[in-house]
Amino acid sequence: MQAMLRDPKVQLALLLLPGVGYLLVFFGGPLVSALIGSLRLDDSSFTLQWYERIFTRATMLRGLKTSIYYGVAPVFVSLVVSVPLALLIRQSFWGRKLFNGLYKLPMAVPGIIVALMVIILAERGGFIDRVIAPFGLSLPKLVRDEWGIGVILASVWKQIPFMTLIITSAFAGIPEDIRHAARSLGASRLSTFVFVEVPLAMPGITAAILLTFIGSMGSYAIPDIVGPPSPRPLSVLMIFEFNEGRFAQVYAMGMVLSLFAVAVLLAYYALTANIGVSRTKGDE
Amino acid sequence: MTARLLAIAALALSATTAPVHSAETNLKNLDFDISKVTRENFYDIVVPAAKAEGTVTMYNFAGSFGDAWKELITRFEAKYGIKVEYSDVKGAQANQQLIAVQKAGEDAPVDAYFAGGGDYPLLSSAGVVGNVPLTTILPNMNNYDPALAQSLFGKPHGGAYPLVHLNQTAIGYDSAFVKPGDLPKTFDELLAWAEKNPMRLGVTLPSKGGSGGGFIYSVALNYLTGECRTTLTDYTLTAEQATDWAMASECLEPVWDYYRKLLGVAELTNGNADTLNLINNQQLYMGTVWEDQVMTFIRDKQLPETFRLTLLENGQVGSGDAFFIPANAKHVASALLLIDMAIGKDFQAWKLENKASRSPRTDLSSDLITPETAKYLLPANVYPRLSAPAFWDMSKALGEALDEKVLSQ
Amino acid sequence: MSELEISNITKDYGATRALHPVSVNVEQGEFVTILGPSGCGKSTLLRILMGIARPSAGEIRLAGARIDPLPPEARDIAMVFQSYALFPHMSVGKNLAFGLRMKNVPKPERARRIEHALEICNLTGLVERMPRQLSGGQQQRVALARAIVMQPQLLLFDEPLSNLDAKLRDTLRQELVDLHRRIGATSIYVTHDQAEAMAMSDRIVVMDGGRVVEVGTPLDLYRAPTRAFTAGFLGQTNLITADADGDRARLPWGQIVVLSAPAKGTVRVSVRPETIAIQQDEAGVGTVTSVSFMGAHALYTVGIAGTTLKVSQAGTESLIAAGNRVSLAFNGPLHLLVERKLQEAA
Repeated sequence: MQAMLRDPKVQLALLLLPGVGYLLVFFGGPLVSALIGSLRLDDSSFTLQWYERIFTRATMLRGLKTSIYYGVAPVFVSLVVSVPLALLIRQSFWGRKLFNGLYKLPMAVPGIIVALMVIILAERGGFIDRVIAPFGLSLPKLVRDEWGIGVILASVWKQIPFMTLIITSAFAGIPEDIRHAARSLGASRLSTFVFVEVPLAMPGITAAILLTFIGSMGSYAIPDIVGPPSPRPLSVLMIFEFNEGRFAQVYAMGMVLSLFAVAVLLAYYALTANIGVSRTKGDE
Repeated sequence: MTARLLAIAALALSATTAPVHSAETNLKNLDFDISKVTRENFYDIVVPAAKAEGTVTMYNFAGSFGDAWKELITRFEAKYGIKVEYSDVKGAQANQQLIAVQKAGEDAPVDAYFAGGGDYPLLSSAGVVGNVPLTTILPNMNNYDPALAQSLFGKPHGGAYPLVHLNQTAIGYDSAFVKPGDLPKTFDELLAWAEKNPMRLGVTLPSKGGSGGGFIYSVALNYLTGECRTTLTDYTLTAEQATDWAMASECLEPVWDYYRKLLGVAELTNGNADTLNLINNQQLYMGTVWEDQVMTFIRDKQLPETFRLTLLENGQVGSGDAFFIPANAKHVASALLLIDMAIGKDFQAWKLENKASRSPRTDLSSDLITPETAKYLLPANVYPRLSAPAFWDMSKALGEALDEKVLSQ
Repeated sequence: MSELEISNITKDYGATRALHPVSVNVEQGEFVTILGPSGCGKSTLLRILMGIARPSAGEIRLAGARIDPLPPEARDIAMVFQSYALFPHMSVGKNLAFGLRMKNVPKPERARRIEHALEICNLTGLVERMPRQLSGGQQQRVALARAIVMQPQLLLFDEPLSNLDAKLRDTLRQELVDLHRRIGATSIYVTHDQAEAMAMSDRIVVMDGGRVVEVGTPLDLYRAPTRAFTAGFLGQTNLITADADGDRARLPWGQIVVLSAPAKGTVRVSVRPETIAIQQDEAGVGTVTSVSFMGAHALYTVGIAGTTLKVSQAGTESLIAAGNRVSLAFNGPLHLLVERKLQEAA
């Protein structure tokens, strides 16, 4: 026993156990059991029918596309808002401290509350509609609309603080000297931003994109309540299948969504491998 | 994502179907001979046994029924002095919990479970439903609708799974916008009305609300004939068989055709409440609804007082929810007493007046209801005449096929 | 007209004045060091020169044109940073090309200039490297090359050597001096290291407390500082109070010395340790309290008339042990310190 403990290989295994073991038990375990579950019929025989259904049924295929759409579209809109917001927050302006505290609030609001807020406020004939009706105005169709604008806006509202937070710190991580160097080398504010700050903040920005993408792709409450009844994203279809007790189908859909997320993650690693520079070196 | 998978995995551990046992009496914790109990000696045998138990646990799966059960429990505790432990549960989860407990041979956490009418096939196949002929031995079931006494939606239950609440899908409309002369009486007229009033009719997505599921089955009942109709109403079909048929059969072409036309001019909604909310916002004037839910919304001022209900020829789906005693229940006698009181005339009348909850009792005439309530209920000229029995597995199958054949095309 | 004219520049942060009116002129091709302890205002002045801070008052002219209202990118000034501030996502070549691209220098010209800058900074062969693949010294050379490739009217250095280890610092200092001789760019070099300042500069601007204390060549400032601060900051010194009468003065212990300029009454003089000759003398008034042998010279602490003097003796063959009495001699006239209130110099 003593001798075994002195074996470096055994030591290594023991040292790795808490971390790797945790991953295996709490991440790998469910994943493997979901994978196995997705490949089984009720009588435990092997089947690919649950996957076949995902890739042959029109509802499922549209669901997959809708999931990706609900993942991608809010990210782009959030990005367009978050980057300028991150830059604004860097500046000093009146009421900055208050704003700095307030803009993060939506992060604390659960998706289902956001969804219900949208229903109450932005539904046709809802609160906002009634307020602006006396002025002869009316809201466009935001709830149950074909393009899921309401879903996208609700997701955006919820994502912006998180994204802004990450992007702000990504920009804050760029040493001031580097900005100043660019300026003294003849770059305007805009050029400095485009050629120096954005590339350097890219790891942070892509991380924000990735996290919000995966978050909104998997979100359930907002598309379920605010989105159109058809098409429904996979997340909503998954809950439906779950309520129907078709667990194998739920597993298979979960595997497809997870695989997709992992693929995006790998693409992210591949893309950022080249930008992932150690910026600390210059300050040593 | 991982968290969700974890949750699903955890729930699923308890989800494997158990082998079916169908013993004569499968009640596990009986301290009196239930086969000797009749309507006549019911109270003599059951009341002392129940008082000895002292407490009874009840589950309620229907969120909107909380206040009704509170009323019942107050009456029950006052009359028998037996404490009721009450829990609101999510139907699907509670069903899985009971199935898991049954499989493990443990005592059930609940003695009287108010469960969905459509859950009977799942629960009975797992052996969860206690084999008690409630409809034959409960004194208050002497006026019980014979059509529901031994079977439910085509599945025989021997009186063990009696509905105590009936509900009816319907067409609801705001009479401020729909004049009596324009009110559709058939499915064809409904389509014509929608074409004349584009985007003023709300149709609940079948997979997101029973009012939509009931509606699609009602449409199918209306347009299918001959062998097609025979299959449509074949209650022996399993859920899988129903799905396969709905996905493949030519029979349903008229239904898809109807929906294709209807959804061009009507609004598809995300649920029963979603439809009602849009009518309340005056964005819709008419929609697919549940009668009892409308009453709840009216009482909460979430629908205008001008809201009214009707049924289309040749009938719309009616359903109901049941009380049953799990096979492994610990307090069987108290559960029997509680269910007996739930089906009693007093409580059934109270429920109709306050919840628009219809009764399987045959002796509950509409003169028991105040006129104030009556105007929000389905009028006597259509109900119960146009109430058709539900077939939820087929409704679900049609709903899925609708998604596949119409919505996703 | 000087190449760079800094006139009465001040900087206030709220009620605090970081720079009192500062005026400095720098001639074409001159290498001027701004020397002072941290917090003396030298960095603020540099930021103002660069354009990332605005002066509260005063003006700056570069080659005759006013630049203080211009943004950094519109000034023909390049800077070498203490942190190097290389663009970590660009190769050495791209770092060098960045400024040229921004200033729309044509491509062939760009290539030629980059080639040249790499060559004179000893960076040939590293053009494809990323900054993180370079050593600290190489990174600072890249930063230098990136600045000189711009051929700016004014080169600024912000303590560029202070992040390097001592040996590398000496090498690069020498390289910088050589480089300046070759390209002759007008340069301002900010440092708190007096050795660096003296080794490199044509002139030194000594700053303290947001003011310019004194300006002069390294030799003048070292040999004949007019301020106690300069005397103390540039190497070791002894500050002695004396009683002057004409060009003679009496030291506290009675010794009579020659002054560099006539004065009357109580004066202070600065005496460098190496200008004092020490001799063992039983009749001397001083006592050696400690001795440190440094190799090239020996450093004595001498107690005399209640004060302590530092005396450095070069090329000694034998040491005087502590406790021995000594007599001191002063080589050449002693330099008077000006005690009047500090004003802006130059």
